Amino acid sequence: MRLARRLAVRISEKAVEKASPGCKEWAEGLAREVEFIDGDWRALGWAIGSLRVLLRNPPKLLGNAEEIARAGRLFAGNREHVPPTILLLTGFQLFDNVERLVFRWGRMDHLQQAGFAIAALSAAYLAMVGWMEHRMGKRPEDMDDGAWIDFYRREMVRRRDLFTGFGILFPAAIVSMCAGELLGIEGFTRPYLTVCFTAFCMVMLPLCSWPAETFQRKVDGIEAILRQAGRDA
Amino acid sequence: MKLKIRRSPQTALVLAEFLADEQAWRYGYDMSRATGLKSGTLYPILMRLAEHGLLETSWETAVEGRPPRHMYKLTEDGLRYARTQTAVERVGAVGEPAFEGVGL
Repeated sequence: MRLARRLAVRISEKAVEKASPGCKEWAEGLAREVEFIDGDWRALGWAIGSLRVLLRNPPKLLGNAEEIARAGRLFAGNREHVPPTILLLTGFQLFDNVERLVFRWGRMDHLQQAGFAIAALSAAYLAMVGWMEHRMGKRPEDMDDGAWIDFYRREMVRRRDLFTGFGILFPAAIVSMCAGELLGIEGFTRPYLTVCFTAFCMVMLPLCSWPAETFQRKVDGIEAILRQAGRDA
Repeated sequence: MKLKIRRSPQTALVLAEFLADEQAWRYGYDMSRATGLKSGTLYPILMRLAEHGLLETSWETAVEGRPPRHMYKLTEDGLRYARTQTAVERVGAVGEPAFEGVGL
């Protein structure tokens, strides 16, 4: 067996080994195909492509309607009193940046002023998205599983829509907040590189829809179970 | 109930390829050759279709001396969805939303 083919087999085996439980079957399917590919280099290309399967991390699949209802109750319970980490972190960041801008404005150069202003704006946006994500619809009053399933599905749909609408800049805003902090450092030597990298991220990152996809997969899982339950009934 | 799935030229290619022989089980590598998509592009599409209940998967019955292969076929919902999508492609719709709803 040639080196490229051996490498392809080895990479495929690694992909199967490292794949999450939800993706293992797919990784195995990809690995089995390697034997049927004519051309060692083509097999290697196929195996390298199979590594993308590792990037997919499907959420824990809910098995039946009772589990969805339980997940809904847990979700409501967790969100009732504890604000999400992102809200706390960005809230603190916003406070910190505004405090610097207000009290140290005169002592900063233009680059630092711009940096902290960008960081403050990004933190404000992130805090707003965090707050909207954390906000919850009305909890069902009764103990009926159906009401909790509806509630959980509605909440997942609302979050998905948030990250395809107002929250679409969420990943890009994390980058711009960090870049703003970097620009704020006194004597920072790479401002143009940072600005170019941030601009690139602002354009490219809204194209990745992983936050929305995460919630979409949950909605799909719920709907698949409900469809199955409807067929069984 | 409405499901949402991202429409892309690559997804349309995969759906059209499945429609070429609706009832046949297809292998990943054969799909890759027929559509010209690399494994890193093809499999995320197949996985997404399966997550939406549009694609079913199965393992081939083992034959001596040959490992079983993973096979794919569109479900009834998947076939309906594929027909709708390819019809839209044929019309050459412009300005469609990035997410297309499909009634199931």
